[in-house]
Amino acid sequence: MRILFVCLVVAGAVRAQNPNAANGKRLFEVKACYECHGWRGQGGLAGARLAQTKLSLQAFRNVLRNPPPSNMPPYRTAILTDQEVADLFAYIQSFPAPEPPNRIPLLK
Amino acid sequence: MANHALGRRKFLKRAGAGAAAGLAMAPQSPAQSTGSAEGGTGPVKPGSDFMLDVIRSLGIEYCAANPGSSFRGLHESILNYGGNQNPELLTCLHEESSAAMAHGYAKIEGKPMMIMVHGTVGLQHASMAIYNAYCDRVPLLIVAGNILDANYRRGNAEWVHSVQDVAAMVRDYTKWDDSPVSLTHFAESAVRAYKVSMTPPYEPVLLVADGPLQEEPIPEQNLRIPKLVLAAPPQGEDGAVKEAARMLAAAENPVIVAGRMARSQQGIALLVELAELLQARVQDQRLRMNFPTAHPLYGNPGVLPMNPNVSDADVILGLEAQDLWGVTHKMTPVNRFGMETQSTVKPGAKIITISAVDLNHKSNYQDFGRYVEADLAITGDAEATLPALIEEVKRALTSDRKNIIEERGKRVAESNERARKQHRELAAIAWDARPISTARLAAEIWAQVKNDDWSLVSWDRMMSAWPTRLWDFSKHYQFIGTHGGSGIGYGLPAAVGAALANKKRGRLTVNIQTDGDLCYAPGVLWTAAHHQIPLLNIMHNNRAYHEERMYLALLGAKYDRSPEKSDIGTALKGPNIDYASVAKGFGMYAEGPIENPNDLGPAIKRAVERVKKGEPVLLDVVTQPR
Repeated sequence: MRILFVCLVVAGAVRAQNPNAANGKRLFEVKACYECHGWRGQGGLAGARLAQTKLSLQAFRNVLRNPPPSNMPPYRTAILTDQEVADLFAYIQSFPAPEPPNRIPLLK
Repeated sequence: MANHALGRRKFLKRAGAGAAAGLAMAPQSPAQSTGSAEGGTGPVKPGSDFMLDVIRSLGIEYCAANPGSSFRGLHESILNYGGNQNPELLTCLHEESSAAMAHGYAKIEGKPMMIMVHGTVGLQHASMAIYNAYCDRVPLLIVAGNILDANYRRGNAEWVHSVQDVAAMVRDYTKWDDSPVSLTHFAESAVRAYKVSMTPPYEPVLLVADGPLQEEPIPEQNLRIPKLVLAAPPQGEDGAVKEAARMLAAAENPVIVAGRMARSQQGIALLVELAELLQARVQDQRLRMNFPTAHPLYGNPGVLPMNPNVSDADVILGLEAQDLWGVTHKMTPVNRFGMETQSTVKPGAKIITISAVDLNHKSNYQDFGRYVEADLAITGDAEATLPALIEEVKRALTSDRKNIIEERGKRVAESNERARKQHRELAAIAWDARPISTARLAAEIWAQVKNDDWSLVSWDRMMSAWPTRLWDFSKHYQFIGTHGGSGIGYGLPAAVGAALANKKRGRLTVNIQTDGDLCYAPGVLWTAAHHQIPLLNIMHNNRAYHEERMYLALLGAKYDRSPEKSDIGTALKGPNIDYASVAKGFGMYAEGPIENPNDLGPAIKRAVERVKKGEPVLLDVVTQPR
């Protein structure tokens, strides 16, 4: 039993070091992240910008687990495991960088 | 009593004798030559003709109604006696649409539209929209048909459509009502109702049009219509205004929070003058068009104009502000379910309020919001009070404050410029995304309308306030705020009513229409098409009631429950609703669904061209949630 536990911990640690952005994309939808943060993490009325986040994985996880006073739900481990947080973070990091507004005619 | 097999006017002509009407104001005035002067042989008039004379004396342009037998007399008089002009009848497919159209119309026109409803079922249908108008402080003249005399009712339909006290069901959210029992009574109460409705705080009023009173020949002699003189808006007491000026002039960082402040373009000009005198930031809650969004002193709100950050202020001036308690306090997500709260203002900061709403508090519905612990509360209409306040501020400002005030203004302007730059940077994210981003939607519309005389008649909170953040608003009619009571179903009919008021001025009316709202009573699309009301409807079709889904996710997470099922009961998918087909079915030109952002600009351009030719159009655009 103890051996199995150690194996699981090691396996978890290994997986966390290999985040799965595809799974993160799935989680971004089913866990309703896009509702407030937008499909590209652009932020808006109800949620902060996630695209091009400057947070580390650790800081990102901390915010998810214990969000600051806002309408952000707390995503504790019962809702998102550490591995899933890593997957989600990997997906968020994959959002393309936006064009500078002065290169978009309608935003000049 | 009445021979219902005969046409009403034919019957009345036969009934003939005795009725006389010395009308004060009868646009077509046949009543003045009827009755006993003709020895009882000439045509007489029904009471509803006189009622119409009264309504016309009030300057009512339109009457929105879904037809109902309890007001058939008035309906017939509008058509045949009044020639369907002033008021013109607007055919509605739901009473909620009638009331919401009147709501939107009043915010552009600055005066009430009339609606007619059955005293029972019609008023129940209309009640939600009346509540919205009440919460939004909007004038509205409701005429409810009823047959009070049981002996006059025919069959079951007229029994179930009759009621002892018509106004009871909406009395909590109307300002005044009456059930006249004579035509003289009707005239006086109609004029009083209009005056009450148009005295700040503006609110809906209700007048019962009794069936027999409408349909029977005019029995009364020497009828006259009282003169309408609107009351001057209430102004804040002089001493209190002087004290407010002293506090503002002495403040290090005064901030003005404007809710439903400007009733007119003059209101905007006054607020600009006050802000510039003080070089004070103005946080416009965007419940009316109060302050130009491109002005350097515009307090750029980010995405929540209703709840601006005023934590840097030492004096906060609320002008017809909504939920000033909420502006000055915060609740954490846990606390929003009923626990502790926290002030967000500086220790020692002073709060001044100027509002006419205190003149009309009622008890049952809680639209008055949480009690504001103001340091100086002035009861009076803010727009009417501003001239005196401005003069007192001029007197109170001393030359030694000049540098401080100038520096303050520079800081606000710099902050504003930074915010505008940041808005453009944020808008660039997801620019090419599908579903289309709400920032892209706002920018594409702006590009097509900005060179016209435009009027945005929808609220923009559900799209992260992108029009507020990217467009330049300066005229009073360019923004009309929101529903007031958060009753969904306001958006589309209010836009149609506002577009009607804009029509005669040749303005390009734009409605960014949320999908859930449209589904409440889409028949108003037909009303817009039928009456050829030019209106550019662009769907913000995010295929869900997203705010409610967010609440489910928030509440579930509090108990470690995953939000994965929160789309059940909130999503509008499976099947997707084809709004272009819906609009086409109601006789309106429509395109969509538009899912490629690059298709958006050309589609809006085509739509604008059609609207400019005088027709309503709908574009269905599939969008991101916010």
